[in-house]
Amino acid sequence: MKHAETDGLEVRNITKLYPEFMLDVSFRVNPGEFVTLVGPSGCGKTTTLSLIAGLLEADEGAILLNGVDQQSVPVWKRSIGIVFQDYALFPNMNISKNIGYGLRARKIDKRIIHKRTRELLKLVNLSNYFDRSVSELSGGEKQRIALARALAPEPELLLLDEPLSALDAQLRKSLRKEIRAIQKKLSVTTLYVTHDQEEALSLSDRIIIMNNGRIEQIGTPQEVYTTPASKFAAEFFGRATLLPAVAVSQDDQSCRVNLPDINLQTHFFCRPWTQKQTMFAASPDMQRGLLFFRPEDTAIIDEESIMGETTPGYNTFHGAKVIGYEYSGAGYYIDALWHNCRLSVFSRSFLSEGTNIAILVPASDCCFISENHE
Amino acid sequence: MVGAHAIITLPFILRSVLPALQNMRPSYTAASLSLGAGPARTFFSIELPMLKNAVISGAVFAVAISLGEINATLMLAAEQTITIPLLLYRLIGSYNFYAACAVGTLLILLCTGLFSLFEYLRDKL
Repeated sequence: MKHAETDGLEVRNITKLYPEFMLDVSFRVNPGEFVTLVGPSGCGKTTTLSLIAGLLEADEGAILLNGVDQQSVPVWKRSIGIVFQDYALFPNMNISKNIGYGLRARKIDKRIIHKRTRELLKLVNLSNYFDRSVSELSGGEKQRIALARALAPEPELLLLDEPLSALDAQLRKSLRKEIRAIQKKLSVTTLYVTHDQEEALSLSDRIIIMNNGRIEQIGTPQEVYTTPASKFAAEFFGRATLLPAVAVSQDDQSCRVNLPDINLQTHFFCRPWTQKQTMFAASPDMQRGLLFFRPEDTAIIDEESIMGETTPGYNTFHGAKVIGYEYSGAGYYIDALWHNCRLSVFSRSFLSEGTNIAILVPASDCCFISENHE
Repeated sequence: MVGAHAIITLPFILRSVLPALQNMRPSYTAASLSLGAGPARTFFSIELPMLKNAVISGAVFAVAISLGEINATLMLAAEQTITIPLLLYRLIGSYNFYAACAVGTLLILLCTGLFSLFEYLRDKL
């Protein structure tokens, strides 16, 4: 189905100033899309959500939902469903009353409310819970009821504020699958807030990485994981190697970088930088940055077997030494020291500390992060 | 006089209701508003029922104080207005001890009855 350009949620230069914190964000969520706002505690994700919901008022900017400016619309007239971290199920009402609350507020016929409540209970797999009281529910059940309640008035936008953070790890995984399945089934435009990077990667169509009140990067889970836009984005999504680098030249196949901290004549290669037009024309600042790769993209080879040779299409880090490891189940995340730089590599087999290794990384899995990433 | 009683008992009601109000999670109100209920509906269907116990406790205190109050009543009450403590005071003043005892008993019964009723309501509501 084709949507109008104005459909979905558009957050346009929203700012909110606090004494020690300033929020300044712009992004959009397309109709039916599942977008996750992710970042460390205090980065402004929940504030952003509250601004969209209308629970807080922005200092400047506009929030448009399906083309309609929401600034002058009070919370109770916005078509937005919210699921809270603490569920916020009303303890003075039973389950069906909780789910039907939004429909009663809209003065909808009782029979329709009854029917819709039954449908929603079926949707969240709690069909037998119609008359139960809130206190009888477990945490996971409460959150499913909270989701059903938020969806009951068929909102144009669904906001979820760290809905799984109060639950245990096992339940979190199964419930996030369920949330995603329900969201896909109803194709409701959704904005999800979490500080859990794994949750963000597994759930989202797109991810918005926030830090310190600003957006660091917006992209698909694959993009933000393999091509981070900043040091923060690279480090936020797990282990990474980040080496101070200077971009020297670039063609269609690759971008060539030098590592100034290391006294080597060798060049290293990475994926072509997407902003190459501006890169070499602009200030020298744009050429300074970091060489980045993920440990999963590395291969460890025996130093003696390659005798200092290089492999075309690969970056080779000769003479690295294992200085520590962490077992992850699937294998070992190894910290290696190479010319006083720390490299993070992955190995399926165990390597003891002090082992000399060479590390191979395909140039296509390396990328250059400019210091001045804007 | 009614105004005076209201002022005297107000701090007792605030003492009991305010902490309950402060302890109420803001997400309840936010959830109600986001579900399309306006501020009035949110107050009567969500906030007030949640504050019920605090309101009842406050009311019990207020009634207890209002029933036994004499100082303000003595000064402010119109001649034809008679409260139980005032009646007691006048009866004792006129050495009518038997009648005073009867009125005192009435006061005790009234208080006990009201407190029981409140306790019953607190469990029921």
